[in-house]
Amino acid sequence: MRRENSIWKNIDWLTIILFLTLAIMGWLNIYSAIYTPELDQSMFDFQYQPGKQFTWICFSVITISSILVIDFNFFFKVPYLFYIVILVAIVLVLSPLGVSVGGNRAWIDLKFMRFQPAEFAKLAVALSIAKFIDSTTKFRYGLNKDTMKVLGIIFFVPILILGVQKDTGSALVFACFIVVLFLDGLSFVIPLVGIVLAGIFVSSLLVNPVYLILGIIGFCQLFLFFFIKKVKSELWVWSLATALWVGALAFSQYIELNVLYLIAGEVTVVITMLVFFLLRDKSTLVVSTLCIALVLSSIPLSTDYILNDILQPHQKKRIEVMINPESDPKGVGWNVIQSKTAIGSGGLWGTGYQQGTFTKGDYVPEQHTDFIFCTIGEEHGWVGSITVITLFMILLIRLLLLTNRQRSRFAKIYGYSVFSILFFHFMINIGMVIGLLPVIGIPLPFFSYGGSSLWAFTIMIFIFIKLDMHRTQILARG
Amino acid sequence: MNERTRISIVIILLVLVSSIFLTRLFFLQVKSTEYKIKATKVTTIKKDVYPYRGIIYDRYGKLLVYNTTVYDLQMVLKKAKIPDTARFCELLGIDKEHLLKETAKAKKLFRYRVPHPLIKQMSKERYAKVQDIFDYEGFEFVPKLVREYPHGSLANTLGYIAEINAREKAKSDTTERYYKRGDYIGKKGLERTYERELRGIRGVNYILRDVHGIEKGRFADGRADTLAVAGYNLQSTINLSLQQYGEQLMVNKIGSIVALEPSTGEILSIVTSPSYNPNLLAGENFSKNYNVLQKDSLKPLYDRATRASYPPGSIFKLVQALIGMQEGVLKPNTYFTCDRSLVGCHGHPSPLNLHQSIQHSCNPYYYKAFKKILNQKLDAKNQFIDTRLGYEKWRKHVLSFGLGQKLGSDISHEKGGAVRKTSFYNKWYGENRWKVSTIYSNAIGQGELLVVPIQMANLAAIIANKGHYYIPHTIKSIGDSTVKLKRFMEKQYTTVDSSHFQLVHDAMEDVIKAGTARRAYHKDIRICGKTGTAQNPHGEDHSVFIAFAPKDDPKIAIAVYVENAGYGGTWAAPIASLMIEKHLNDSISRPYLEKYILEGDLIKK
Repeated sequence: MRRENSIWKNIDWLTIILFLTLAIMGWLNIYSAIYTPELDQSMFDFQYQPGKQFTWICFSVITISSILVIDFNFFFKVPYLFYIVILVAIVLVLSPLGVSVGGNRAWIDLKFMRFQPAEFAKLAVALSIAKFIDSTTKFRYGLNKDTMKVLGIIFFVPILILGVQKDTGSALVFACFIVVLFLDGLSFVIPLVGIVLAGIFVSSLLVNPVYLILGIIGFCQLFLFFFIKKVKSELWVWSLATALWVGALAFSQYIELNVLYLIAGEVTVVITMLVFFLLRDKSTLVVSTLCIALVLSSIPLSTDYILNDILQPHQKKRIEVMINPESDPKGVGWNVIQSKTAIGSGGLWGTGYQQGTFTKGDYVPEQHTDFIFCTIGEEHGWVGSITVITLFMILLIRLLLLTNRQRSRFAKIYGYSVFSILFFHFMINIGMVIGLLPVIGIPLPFFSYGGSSLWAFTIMIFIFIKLDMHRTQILARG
Repeated sequence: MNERTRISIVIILLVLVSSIFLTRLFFLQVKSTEYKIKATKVTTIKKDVYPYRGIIYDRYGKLLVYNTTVYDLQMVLKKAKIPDTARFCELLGIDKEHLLKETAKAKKLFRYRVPHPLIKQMSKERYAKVQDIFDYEGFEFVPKLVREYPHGSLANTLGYIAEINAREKAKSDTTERYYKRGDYIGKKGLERTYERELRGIRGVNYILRDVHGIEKGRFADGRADTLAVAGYNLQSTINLSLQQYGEQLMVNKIGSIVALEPSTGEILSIVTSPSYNPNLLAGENFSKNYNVLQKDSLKPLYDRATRASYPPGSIFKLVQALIGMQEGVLKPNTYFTCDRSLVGCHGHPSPLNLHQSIQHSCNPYYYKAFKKILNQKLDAKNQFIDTRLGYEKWRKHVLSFGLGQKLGSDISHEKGGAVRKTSFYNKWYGENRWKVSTIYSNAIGQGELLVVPIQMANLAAIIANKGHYYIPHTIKSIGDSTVKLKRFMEKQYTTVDSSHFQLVHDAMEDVIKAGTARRAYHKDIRICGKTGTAQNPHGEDHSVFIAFAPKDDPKIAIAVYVENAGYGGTWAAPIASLMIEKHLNDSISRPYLEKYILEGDLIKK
């Protein structure tokens, strides 16, 4: 009895309160988004989405209780089995059991309910990598078998999802596990390179590639100037490169796109010279900087190729729309224009609960699922947006801090996973709704309508709370 | 890099992302007004609320025109369910083709969720029959107001309303910018003259609609809406039963009747024949019916009472006699012989005095009288100049009788007839090359003189009033105000002194008793009248008659003009007499006379 008490004392009530607040806010928002005054629909009527969402909340409560009650060792035992079950379920979507909703064949119909395996796949991956890394003795990140296995566990799922469902959104979320690995000790260089590459790619869509290349070269030259003393001894080489750079900048407005090859040529010349002079000192930093400059410069040149030949037309469209929604006002741009208008019309305080004219009028497609944040923006204004974003921030930071106090690597990796998954959903969803990121259809946790997503997030968080409750015991186990 | 640093980096990243979001949201939501304006524009539509158009009563409070409800049956394709097309069509009284045609049309216009009118302007009666048993989903009856006339009379005077055309809109926009495309506007008659009073003021509702265009309630709960203000009701001066009687009498005749109340200038009845049932131009079949009416060779849309210019014929002799007396060239005892070598005449005693000249309508008498009026030796040397000066003097007198120009009544599209200026004759014959013998036809109301029936009635009123008149009008009061329009309350004087009128009254009484209009005689009512037989180069003479009664306290002044009907005494006089009796006694004591008129078919003949 005393032991029971101590466990309940160990539970993190703050996380639970944050979870409940967000879930209830989400439910009320779905009701508002669906609400039509003519139909006398109750919040609890199972015929409509709010009622269904409420049922899912009740269902979640049962699940929560079971999670909190069962032996925590259970979670150490099931990951691989669960992983396999989910893989099978994803494939089963293609079988007669699978159903399409909104043209997306991603659900399995179990007669009494429908569920979306992809939503649970993240949970399966989180548990599996936690178990794998925890159970592998002397696990180290690097170019070794174990790291490859981890990456395999992670990336097999999104590849499968892509193959089966062609659902970029659900697959993209798995990129968040890079953050998990980073938090767990993976070198920062890999994520950084990824971010820089992506940044340059996106910039090359926004900025004239000529300036971008000149910018990259200029940056590298500055970098060399300040950090490498040797440069000064070879100052004339550096000055020549800089003069070329200034000249190119001065004439840049006359440079046509095919002249870029000339710039690439310039880069090659400068690099050859620098390498020739500096290789003697074996200054790896200088060499790598120059190599990076070369590689980075090539990205803007390849942008057109990537856009036109690698990406699917609809993906290309989404990126174009992110940059300029007006370019396709009737198609994908429509969502972004409408959602921005809905949010923008909210003002500081919003139009009031169930008073959103855009919301009421179905102006934003997918309003109650992926674009649910519009309802908050419209009906509760900037104040509402701050509230929701702040609540998410507090929850996320709380999760991080809780993870930090875990003693077992299993709980730690799992905690980071929960954080990263929620963070990615939060970032990509809101970024998309307010027109900062391309339209990628992933839900906003707790807010977007959808039983599978709500249920999966709930289980994810409460397994972590359970692990946190038993952190002292888990340590003992280790 | 230890774990703490990594966590810090991720937290910084998280805070950074959140800050970017909040900054972006701040600009979207608080800083920029663009999205608020856009959202309102997108979600809100302005919907006009049409006011109740004013209704018009006759002088005794009977309805002349009012609004009635008709129903449009609207169909929402997406919800519409018709399990049994045959019953559906039978119930609504439409054929299957119509249903298919309208469905195809709705589809073409992408009206799947937005209502599309399947049946337009279903009558109240049919609606009442259908409504209870009509149980189809996705259909709705929407009420609408149209004009209705309970009597079928007075069509040309009341006029009609119809959709505004581009020209009318452009014209109206220069002053007030009220009308929109598709609005209804008074096109003719009183509907046109009193358009501003009748139409009221349109209200606006701001309505929220969803992305499919379906209405979702009021913007700001209706606080921004404005109410429609109903138009004013008008009371007319028309005596509806007299009007209907007049129309009945004029059946199968071409022409018009105008009856006035002399003491006020109020129009009691204004008949133009042939006419049409005003209900034909109200409602859904407007254009169809309008085309039929417009092609009719008898021109039912032509308001003869206010627009047809006729030679007045002998009724003009009254004006000549009065001008002659005023100028002092005719005295009650001025005798002339009936010299038919000057101009034709008909059998009557000769020589005769002024009184008798009216009573027997002697043509040579007025030829001589006209010569006396025009040649007063204003220029002793030149007969031509003398005639011109005399003519100008004469013309001034004639114009003061409300002739030769528009009277200015409140009936739209009124015409004014013609009393030619000297310049007209100068141009025609050359300056100083015309004299009385050139223009002598004017002496007896022929020649270049043209008068509109309403002016003839007004002439009767002037004589009844002994020298003055009020501009004839059809509306007594507007809304709650009992004061008439100012221009209808101003006395208009003729240039002839009232003392000269008694002789004319007496002579006109004798026209009925022992003159050219014995058929108009009524034993109890002292009617004063004057016949006219206007020569018509295109066919049979026109039959003209003006009169007023009772003699000592005139209550009605009337002009009847029947085209191609021969002598004034034959048709016009008895019609006028019946109208007078009807107005004064509200009954007819001479059924034989009434029968003669009603059976008279002057069109077929």
